[in-house]
Amino acid sequence: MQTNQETLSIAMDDELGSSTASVLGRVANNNNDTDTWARYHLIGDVLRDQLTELAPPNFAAKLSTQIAQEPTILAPKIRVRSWIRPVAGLAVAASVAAIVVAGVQQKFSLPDATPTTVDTSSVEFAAPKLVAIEPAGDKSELSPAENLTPAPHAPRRLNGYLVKFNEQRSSVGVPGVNPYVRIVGFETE
Amino acid sequence: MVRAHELLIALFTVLATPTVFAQHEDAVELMRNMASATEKLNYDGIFIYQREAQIDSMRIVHRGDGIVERERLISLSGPEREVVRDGTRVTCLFADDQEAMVEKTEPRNFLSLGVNEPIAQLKKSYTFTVTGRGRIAARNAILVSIQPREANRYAYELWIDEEFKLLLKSVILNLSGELLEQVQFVQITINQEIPDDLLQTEIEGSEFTWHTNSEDDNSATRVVETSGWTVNWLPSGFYMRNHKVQTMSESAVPVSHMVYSDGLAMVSVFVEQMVGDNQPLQGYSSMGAVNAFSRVSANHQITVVGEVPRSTVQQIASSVEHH
Amino acid sequence: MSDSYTDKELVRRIQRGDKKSFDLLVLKYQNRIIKLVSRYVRDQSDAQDIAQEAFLKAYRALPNFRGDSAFYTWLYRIAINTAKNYVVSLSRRPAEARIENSDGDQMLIEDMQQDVATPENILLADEIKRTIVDAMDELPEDLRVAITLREMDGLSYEEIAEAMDCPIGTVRSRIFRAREAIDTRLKPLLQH
Repeated sequence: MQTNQETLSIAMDDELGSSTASVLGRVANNNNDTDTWARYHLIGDVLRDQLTELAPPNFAAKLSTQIAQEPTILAPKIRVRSWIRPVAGLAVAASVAAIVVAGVQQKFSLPDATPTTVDTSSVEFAAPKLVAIEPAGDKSELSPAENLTPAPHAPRRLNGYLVKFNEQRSSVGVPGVNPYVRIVGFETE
Repeated sequence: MVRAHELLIALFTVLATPTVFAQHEDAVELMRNMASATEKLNYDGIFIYQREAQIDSMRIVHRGDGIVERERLISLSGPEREVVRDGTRVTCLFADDQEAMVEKTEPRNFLSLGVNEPIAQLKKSYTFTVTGRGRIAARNAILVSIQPREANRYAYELWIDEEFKLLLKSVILNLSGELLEQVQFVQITINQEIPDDLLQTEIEGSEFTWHTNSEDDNSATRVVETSGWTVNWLPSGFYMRNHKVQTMSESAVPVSHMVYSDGLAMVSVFVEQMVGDNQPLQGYSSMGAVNAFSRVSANHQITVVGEVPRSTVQQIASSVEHH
Repeated sequence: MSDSYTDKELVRRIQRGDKKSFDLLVLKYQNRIIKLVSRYVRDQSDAQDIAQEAFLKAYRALPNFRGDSAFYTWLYRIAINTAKNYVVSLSRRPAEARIENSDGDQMLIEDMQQDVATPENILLADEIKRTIVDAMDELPEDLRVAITLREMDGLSYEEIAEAMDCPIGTVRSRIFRAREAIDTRLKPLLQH
């Protein structure tokens, strides 16, 4: 879909306000618009007498090809918004993508936070509690909770691991629904 | 509507069931029916997803009786976003960010158990039992309890619709029987006609930035032998499902990613060479039912992320060795 | 130079994975950057190489771009550094006569005596310049004044409205119509 050229003209002058974002998106993805953008800027360059040394016609295209080979940038800033697939039990729970859709922020809790028990079902009688099962192996390897030291702020890298972990959820034939874990908007502030 | 005395009878019947064996089979049969129902039926419902203090709500619309399976997930809380599936083509739309992603996928349901694992394999690590009945989203449900045989992984509970065998609620419980995460329908209609427009997104995405999911996976199909790292300990019943080399978006350093599962729970082991002055991760973090633990060894960062208790991720991480 | 809203928005998109938005930035600044680095080397194809490298460096460094400065200012610095490094690497060649230009940067005599490569580009550049200048001359005065104030003096629409004593909507329209008129003559030159 081609952008109205007057709109493009206004946008490139920073005079379009809040619609600029969506217009730029369209322009970047439409060849005619991109060409028009190039020519309109060229006019400005000539008027400012930039033209003693002109960029050759294929300059931008050559660069574009090279950029295509570069790793895609995802520059995280302060807030991470991601579609995290509800892991565990949710595999069993399903309703995954939902979870993905849930877009929960990545919050990592310290070890001593107790999980909230919220029972919103209308079970008429309580399900039997999990009975502690004696593990077959040697228990001594299991470290007591106190020995585990919490990590400082969950860094980006951990974020990245989580995403990769979630992506595996469905593709590996492990039960569960589609992961749809994406790091989408790294929020700038 | 179920009357109290009927429930008591049901309860009594359940408790008095002569053989555990029979119950076990019922549970497994139920789960099989559930998988089939999820794929083949039409349904439209609203559910909540709770993890720690956060609750989100979503709506799912699913059509299973058409030529091609179609479904749609809509966020009802938080930022506006949707996932729409048409056969094997999935589109994710993020309205606030004006971004969209398209990918091809195996035909898996948004709402499904999707157990590919032979039950025999799962039974090695878990027991499956019908332990009761309940009422979810104004429907009668059968409670299936999935217990690990060893205390190094989590337990699950599924509430399955009695009439149509759809999953209505599921929770994951830690070793103390406390709830870690849950998903539960609050309202659902099943087996009705699903009109086309319910399966189409209302988000106007033509001006969004569109991505396809091919970019990430150029290394996806490579199985790597080179890493030289082994995971020496895993809970019994876990075996490797995948091993690939990936790059994280923040660095160009390749990361070896090994995926293990016992059929229900999944664990990832990441080994990444430490480069430059990057602060290494140390210690662990957790979010809901997912735990992560990191340590450093031989100038490599080892991180284990999994749907298993903290002690288990730590044990796994500690057993990772280079030779 | 004040930061452009458009530039900010484009940078934001690129930082979230939209490579095509980087194309728009390149198209916007390519001529300026080439002109800038041409001060450091005589050979036009060297200037182009340096400019390519500068843009590439900018792309790679974008994750670290925090928006403290205007994008163009940041790009400008990268381009100058790239050009200087290039000249330094040239100067490591043995026994060449060196000359300092007015910036105090060294240039090789050899470079100064080299002809500029790509005569075709020179011809095209001339033709483009002539076409645009001619088109400008033929514009109605109000359109010409508007686009001159915008492109050469860098005034905002509001400032132009004040200068020309007309509503902002008129300014928008005049600037666009000026561009459109010039573009009508320019487009055939550039399409292949």
